[in-house]
Amino acid sequence: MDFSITKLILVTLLTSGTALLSYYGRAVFHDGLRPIMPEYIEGRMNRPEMSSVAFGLSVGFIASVGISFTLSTGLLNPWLLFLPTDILGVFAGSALLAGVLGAAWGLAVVLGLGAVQTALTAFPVDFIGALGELSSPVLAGFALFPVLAILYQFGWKKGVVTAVIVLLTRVIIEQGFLPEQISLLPEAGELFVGTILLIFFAVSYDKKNPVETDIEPGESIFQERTRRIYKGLPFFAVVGALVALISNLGYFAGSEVSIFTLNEAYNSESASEAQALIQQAALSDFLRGIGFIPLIATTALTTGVYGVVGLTFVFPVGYLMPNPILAAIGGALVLIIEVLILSKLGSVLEKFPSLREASDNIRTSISTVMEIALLIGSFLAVLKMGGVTGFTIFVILWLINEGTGRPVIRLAAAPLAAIATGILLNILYFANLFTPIAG
Amino acid sequence: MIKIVIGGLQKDQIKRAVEAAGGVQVEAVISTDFEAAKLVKANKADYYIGACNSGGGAALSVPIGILGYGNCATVAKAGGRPKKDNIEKLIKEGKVAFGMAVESIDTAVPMIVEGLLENKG
Repeated sequence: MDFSITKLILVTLLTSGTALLSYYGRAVFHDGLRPIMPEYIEGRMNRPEMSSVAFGLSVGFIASVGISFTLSTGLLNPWLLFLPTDILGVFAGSALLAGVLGAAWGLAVVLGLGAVQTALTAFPVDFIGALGELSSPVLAGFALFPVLAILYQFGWKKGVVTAVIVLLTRVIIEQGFLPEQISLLPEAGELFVGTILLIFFAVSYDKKNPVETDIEPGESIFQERTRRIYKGLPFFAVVGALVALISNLGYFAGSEVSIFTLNEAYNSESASEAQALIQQAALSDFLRGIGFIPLIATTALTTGVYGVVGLTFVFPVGYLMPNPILAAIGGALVLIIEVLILSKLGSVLEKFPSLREASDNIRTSISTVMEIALLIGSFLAVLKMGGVTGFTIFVILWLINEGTGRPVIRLAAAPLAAIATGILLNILYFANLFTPIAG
Repeated sequence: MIKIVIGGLQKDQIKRAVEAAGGVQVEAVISTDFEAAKLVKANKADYYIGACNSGGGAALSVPIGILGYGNCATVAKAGGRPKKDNIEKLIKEGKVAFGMAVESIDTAVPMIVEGLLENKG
């Protein structure tokens, strides 16, 4: 199921396309690489220098987040596919080489993933199955990010009020107080209510503290760079279509907030439950996308280099479309619309600093709740794999990372430590030093 | 008195770290990356500090766009540790915006603040 010719072809086309976007300096995935691209495009940095910067910025993310998320779920993710194609595109001396290297990466990932997964299921201590435990804390934890964002931005009183309302929402939905026709995950309700409150507080704050808008010179630079982005439009549309397509086919997840939920959905036996989980994943990626708009839009407008997946709204569209063809059309349209309203977004952001402030808090909150959720999820997974022995190994690995100055970033450290724990438990099993619980 | 503006992720944590390291000799102001970089450009603030998950990403991307790549530096990437002599060198070179991974805030910020104060005094 995980390996098919369609998957191979689509992923290869996609990675080849994103490598070309990077080669031509049209778009890169890494938000930190984007502002440095003009240095290279405008000749202040040469190709080898630029490649080493790209490599240095990305390698940690590919090795940690990219690999651990995909190994835990079997779903491809943007860090694993697009960070390497950013590097390969910048590194390649010709368009042909960029395309070929990009395609080779896609090929290697799909074939390699298939092989690694087959190998992993052969282990006596089933740890890939146990990693499914990651999904419920992620689902429940992510649903609380608006509460934390409100705490950061508007203080503890409003934060506590929000927390109580969000908790009540959860309880009401779980107890089935809603009409039966509405099937809603409690987490979806929590996210909805929390986000509405966040927007409500932000807007009422803005009403009370009107902002002085000072339109500054330098907007013409924006326009010239925006024109560069417009020229890339057809290519963005093609990549958008492919991304939506592979998301729709269930090969690909857009981010840390959706990947574990989607994995649960695709493994679910009940169609209605799967549908609810897919909707939840789409909602999560949509809200995450909102948090990233200011960052991606401002960096794109100031540099003329766009993101390979645009403003990331292509992911929810991909998950939700009823069939792959509509997903591809939808994906292309989303990218086109995003580019067309980009400069408008820029001027809106210029006028409302509170929106950018909210966006920073949303991103801080998402990464904080995800770190906690992944830590707790990994903890549940290692308990399932190997009881207290599993937990002991996991904590040792976690402490090694903490004590050595966190060479692996926190977001990836927990799932990676859980995977390593699984491997170590299997080694112990073969050495007759560990007996799996419950057969 | 050095005025430091803060953007990016975990701004409260950075502010606390700046104040703990610099005491009354620094003023730490929380802003957004965009506003903060503009303040530095307009000489209304002296330095920018920001954090993100990778250290080279969102922490500095907007400041690089506004202040130029040559004025910005990542002091601690995800997976790397900040180094005191490297930070001092960057300060001597005249960098005004510093980015780091969120994991390194508590170690990198004091080094930057101390470096800036030494450089000034």
